[in-house]
This record gives sequence, structure tokens and C-alpha cells, in this order.
Amino acid sequence: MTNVTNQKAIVLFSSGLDSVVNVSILQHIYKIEPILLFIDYGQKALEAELQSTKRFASANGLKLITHKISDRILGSKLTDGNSDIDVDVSDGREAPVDLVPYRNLQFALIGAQYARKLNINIVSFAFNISEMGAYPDNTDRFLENLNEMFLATTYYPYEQPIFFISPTIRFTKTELVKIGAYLGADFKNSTSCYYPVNNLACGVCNSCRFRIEAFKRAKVKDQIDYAIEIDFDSQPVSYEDVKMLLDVALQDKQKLEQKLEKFGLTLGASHV
Amino acid sequence: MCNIVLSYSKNYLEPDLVDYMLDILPTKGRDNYSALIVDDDFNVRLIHNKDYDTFKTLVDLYMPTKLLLLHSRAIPETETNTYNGPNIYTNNRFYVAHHGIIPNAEQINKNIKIDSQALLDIYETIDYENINKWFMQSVKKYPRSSVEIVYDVENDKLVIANTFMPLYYTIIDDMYIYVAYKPDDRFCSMQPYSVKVIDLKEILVYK
Repeated sequence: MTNVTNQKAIVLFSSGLDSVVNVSILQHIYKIEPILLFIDYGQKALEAELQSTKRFASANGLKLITHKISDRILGSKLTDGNSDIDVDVSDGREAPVDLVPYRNLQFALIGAQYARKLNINIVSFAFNISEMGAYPDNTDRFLENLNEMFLATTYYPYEQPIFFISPTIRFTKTELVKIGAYLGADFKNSTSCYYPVNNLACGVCNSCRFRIEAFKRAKVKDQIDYAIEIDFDSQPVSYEDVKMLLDVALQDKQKLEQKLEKFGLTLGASHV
Repeated sequence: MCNIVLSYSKNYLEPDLVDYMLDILPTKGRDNYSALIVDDDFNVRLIHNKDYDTFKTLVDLYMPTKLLLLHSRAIPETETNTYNGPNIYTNNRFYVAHHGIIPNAEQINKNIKIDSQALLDIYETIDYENINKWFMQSVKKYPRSSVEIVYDVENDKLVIANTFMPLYYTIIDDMYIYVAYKPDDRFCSMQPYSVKVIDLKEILVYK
């Protein structure tokens, strides 16, 4: 039987808001060590995301794997060369212009390969409720089916099962900011901007707008610098503010523990 | 984005089941709560509250029931007008609980404030005789990521539908339960892009 450690997880990481809070939840609630996996799929914000990811990994003492997909994923404004990502301020009801078809399915396969190589059996995404309705591969159905498909193609016990999780999936971005602020997430070394201006977040692209809205609603000051002036109303996040959210996160952790237990595995314990 | 928890039975829903439904409701969406309760005479009660504990107390006041639909709302950051509307929406013929996004909702109805209102317009054309064909045509015409639970008062029918957003179901002691977030392994996934109609005259018993 292969030696597997449940003290670590491969964490698909973009250095965005969801990614950094995901790392905090894994560290502080799941008690496991995240190994960051950054994937270059030809995204337009590649340079900013990669530099921010490197800063985040270095500042937090985390291992970082970078993986380049040889052929750029086509069919999305996030990757295609001749189209701009929409910057207009609409009410968010338009069809998602930044949908990258099957992206997370490809990410899952890549994450699983690294997990297998490093004898790790947890791969973590950072989905959130706010974006679930816009991207079919960000839903809990996607995760459920992914887990079922991988288990159905695993010849246990010759091969160890790989579990795909998303500790952030039950929260809005606003709730993730609250959880992150409470757990001490490194927001300073994150980036969400599609169009950085002299290494500053533009503050007007859709991604910046939703991030700013989340911090404002959470009443937390964003730690990154913006090219435009933004007023954040900041107040400390107490345990009472996040108690219900932490309970929800713990429930998901317990569900993962039950799945692992079926295969004689224990979360956070070395299995050799 | 929301959670939806639905249960119906020929018998009154067990108090333990109602407690269970209320417990799992805030696992997805915690900004606003609502409930639709149908009594033995098919009278409908709607409850809305932002406070979870108050909401639970209000729901308990109207128990027992044979049909209970719960809905919790997460207000996404894309919704910058911060409209904090009721979760279950009605035009008095249809009661709609919706989880997901209708990207072109305003093309359906310019005056809407929340997506659920657009669903009311979509369901005005419902064709029960050809429900599968009608549903897929409506999705093609009005693309949407959704779980839709629609109670049709005129026809005593319950429509349960989903596109790519998930809906899970199980049967416990003759009580049918549907949930938009899978609580445990007793629940199975409804096929994506599918619809089913429940004739409540065959399920609920009139006084």
C-alpha cells in the first residue's frame, strides 16, 4: 500500500480572496498543511497572480508548485488574446464573461496527479456561494460528482483515494472576509485584480468591485493598495461575529473525516 | 444563492424532521430566511425573517403541517443594490423558491428587483402535459442556473426543477425531502436539467 499523509493538502491557489481564506481554514480548522498549486492556464492576469502567489507562499512559509498548461484554454475572455475582460459596472446580472469552460475539471486532474505523486489524498478548491450560480464547475454538485468519479476510477487498496474538498464553498465573499479577518488570513499578499495599474489593484474591474463590496459589507479594511481611493469602514471581527460560520466550516470538516474514516484514514494524522 | 429545504407527506411531518430541516437550512445562505407552510385546507402561510432564531420560533407556531418549504438566502456581492427581498416570492398563483441566477432576468420583466420575480413570469406559460419539453424550452429561452421549487395554487401542483445547480432528495418514513445542499449520504442527486411535478391532491389529504 502506498504511504499517504493526511497532514497535507494540495491547494489550488490563485492568490485571490477565496484562496487565501481557504488556506487559513485548512491551517486553523482542518489542521493540515497546505501545499499551494498555482496553474498557469494563459490567464491575462497571470503575472500579477503569480507574483502575488510567490509573495504569499514566501511570507507564510508554504511550499509552492507552479504548473503550466501547455495549450492555453480557449473560449474565455480570461484567456483569449483579442478580447478584453469587461470592466463596466453593471448590476452583475449579465452572463459570466469570465467563464473558462471545464477549467476546474482540468485543475482537478492536475491537482490529483500532484497529490498522487506526493502521497497526499486531499485536493482543495476555493469555491464560494457568491459565484456558484455563474460557474457550473464551482458548485457542490461538481465536487460531489468529481469525488464519485475519482473513487469509481480508483483501484483501492492498490491506489489511495483522493478527496476533493472546498472548505470555502458554503460562504459568500463577505463571510469569507469575516472568517479570514478572524483567523488572521494574509490578505496583504493576495490579489484579485484583472488589470493591475503599476502593481496596484485597479479598483474598477468586476473582480475588484466584488472584492471591495465584500470587505465593505464585512466592515473590514482591505490590506491591499488600490489605484483609486476607497474608504473602508473597519471594525474588529469577534468570535461572536463568526461563530455560526465556524460551526458550518467544522461540519464540513467532520464530513470529510467520515469519508476518510471509511478508508481507515484520519485527518491531520500521519498515515504511514 | 440560497438553500432550499422541502418536505411533504401524506401524514403530518414529524417534529424531529421539522427540527432537522431547520437545522440544515443555514448551512448555505444566512442573510434572510423564509418559509411556506400549507395547512390541511390548503391555506398558505408565508414567513420571512432575517433573524434565524426568530424565524425558527415563527415556523414552530404553525406546526404541524404536511407541506413545508424553507428557503435561506445568501446575498452575493454582485448584487450591489443590496436588495434584501423576501426569499419565497409570489404572485398569488405561484409561490417560487429559487436558488441560482437568471442572467437576463430584466429582459423578462424590466420592473423586477430579484430573480425570483422573473420566474413567476416564466411559469405563467407552464404546460403540465408536456412538462419536460416546456422546461427545457424555458431554459433555452431564459438561461439560468437554478433550483426551482414552485407551488401552483390553482392546480395544487408542486414543480421541482433544477439546471446545473444541485438538488438532493431522499425519503424517510414516507416523508419526501429535497435539499439544495447535501446534508449526508442518505440523499441522492436529482439529474441536472430535469423537472418533476407532484400532484398534491394525491399526496396531501383534504379535511
